[in-house]
Amino acid sequence: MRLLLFLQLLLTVPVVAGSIEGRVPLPNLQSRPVPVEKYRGKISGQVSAPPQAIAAVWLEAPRLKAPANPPAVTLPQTHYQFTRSLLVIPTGTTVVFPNNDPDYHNIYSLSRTKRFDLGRYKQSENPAPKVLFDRPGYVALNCEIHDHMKAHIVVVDSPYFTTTDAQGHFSLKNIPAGSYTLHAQFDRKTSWKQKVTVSSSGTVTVKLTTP
Amino acid sequence: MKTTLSFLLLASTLGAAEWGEWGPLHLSGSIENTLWIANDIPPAFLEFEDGYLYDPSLSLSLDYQPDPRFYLHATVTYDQGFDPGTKPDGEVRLDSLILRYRPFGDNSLNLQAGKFPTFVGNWVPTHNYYDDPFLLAPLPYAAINGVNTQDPSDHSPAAIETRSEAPTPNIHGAKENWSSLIWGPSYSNGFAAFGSVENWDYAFEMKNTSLGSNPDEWHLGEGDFAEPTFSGRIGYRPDAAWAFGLSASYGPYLDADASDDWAAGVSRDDFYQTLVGVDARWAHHDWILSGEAFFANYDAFGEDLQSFSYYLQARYKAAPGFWLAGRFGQTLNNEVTVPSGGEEAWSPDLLRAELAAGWRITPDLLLKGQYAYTLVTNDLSYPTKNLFALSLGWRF
Repeated sequence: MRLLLFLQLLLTVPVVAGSIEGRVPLPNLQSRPVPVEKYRGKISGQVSAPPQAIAAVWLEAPRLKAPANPPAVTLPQTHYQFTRSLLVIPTGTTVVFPNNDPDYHNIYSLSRTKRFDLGRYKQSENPAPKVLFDRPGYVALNCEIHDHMKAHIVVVDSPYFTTTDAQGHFSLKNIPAGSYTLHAQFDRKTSWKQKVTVSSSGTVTVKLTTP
Repeated sequence: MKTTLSFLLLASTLGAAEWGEWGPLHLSGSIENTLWIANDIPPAFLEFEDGYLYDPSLSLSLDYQPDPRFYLHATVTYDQGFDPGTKPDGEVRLDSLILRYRPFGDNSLNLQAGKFPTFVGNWVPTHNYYDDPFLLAPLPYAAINGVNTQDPSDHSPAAIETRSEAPTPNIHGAKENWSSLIWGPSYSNGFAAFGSVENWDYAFEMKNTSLGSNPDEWHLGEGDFAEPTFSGRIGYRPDAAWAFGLSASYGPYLDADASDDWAAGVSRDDFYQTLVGVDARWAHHDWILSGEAFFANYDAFGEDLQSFSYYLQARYKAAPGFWLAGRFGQTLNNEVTVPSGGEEAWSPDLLRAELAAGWRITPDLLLKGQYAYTLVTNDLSYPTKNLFALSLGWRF
């Protein structure tokens, strides 16, 4: 009994872990104006500016794998834009794509990681369309009706992932000590990779250079 | 060959260039390579003689929106004519030039001037190469009829009687001299007011040529608006799935530039095209269904010439990036009394059945194919029944 209590205590004590901070040198992209003429009859409301461009950051190591049964993630379309330019999710995540606009959206992907086409779906569609991302890799999202709408999903086999802010800064906390490969990805062509060693305490600062 | 090589060189240079935005300015382009195959005289507005036409096309578009109230759009195209093959030596053409002002900064009221497609019907907003599942326009927008826009005596009762006895009616030669119910997207020049209020859309346009005028009459500066064409559409969209519309147009159909050839006493003001139409669209998940029906009346020597044309169209998304489409259309015309006392058709009654498939290889690279079967269902002959087309388009 005492042995069991000792083991339980051992398991509930936080593992000593470090952090990784850094900055991804994001490409300097200008806000893309929407060429409205080709959308006659396809846009009833105001078109908002596209969401800020960010990058995905995650750690890989042979011993790491995606957590089991990750929670679903939502990527709405509002004012004829995706609400986020990029998602990073663990393998096995379901992404829900609710339409918050009065007109149809038709989100699709032709990426090898996940090919899908949600067809035309509207605001009131319940349940909103969803897709299970069951393989790691990069997925480019487009809308067949409004081709200015673009977003990316990076599917990772790792429990340690995050996104940068608009300036490229990121932080990964509670990382067990050990050696990892740190990955960052901005779009299909722009990615970074660097070896990092995390100690049992303290913060590792990573500076990625333009690829 | 030299023109084609020059085109390919230009296209590859443009394709390799960095396109994008400079503040409120957006530049984009498209390269479309289409192969048309038909025996004898091809249908619709196509013009080629050797059984096939390879028609490369390069379009460059500029969108400029310095603030929500002002908008400028222009598209310039290099190809072998707006209707493929009509300018075999190639031409650089200003397809559209739109100056738009939104007094309230939203879509409730838009005022625009320039060279722009008509607001009539529901096909025109989807006629963009990457939106339209077909390569040919629907039958009401792509069929020469027996109304001569250069000389009204060519559709007088006597001319109609002569035509009815000809093995190949003269309307199949010199297509630019004849009319269509609506000639493609009708990029003629003029002014428009349009907008949306809740579920309702409205549009009113004043242009200097009729809906059935051919592209040679669409040039900017062509015409003086002395006898304009007025057109409009009221649309109702109860939700995203459904859209309904009612359109009308009224204007003189004779080409003002041809007035020297008219008989004494003939005035453009005596020959009007009146058109009314209804349209409907439904879409849900993998399906898009749409249809339009038009009735047109042409003032003519003798009895008025009347035409009814409709089509129904369906597109089904069979797999990600891959669709199949089908379309069926008919045009029916009245018969008029000819000098011998009988009744004769003034234009071929047509039936057109079409199949198409599209494969979006990447979001910006599209492969499309189409087959069209056209049959005449009255006594006039129509030279070609079969048309095949294959096209690869890339936008940047």
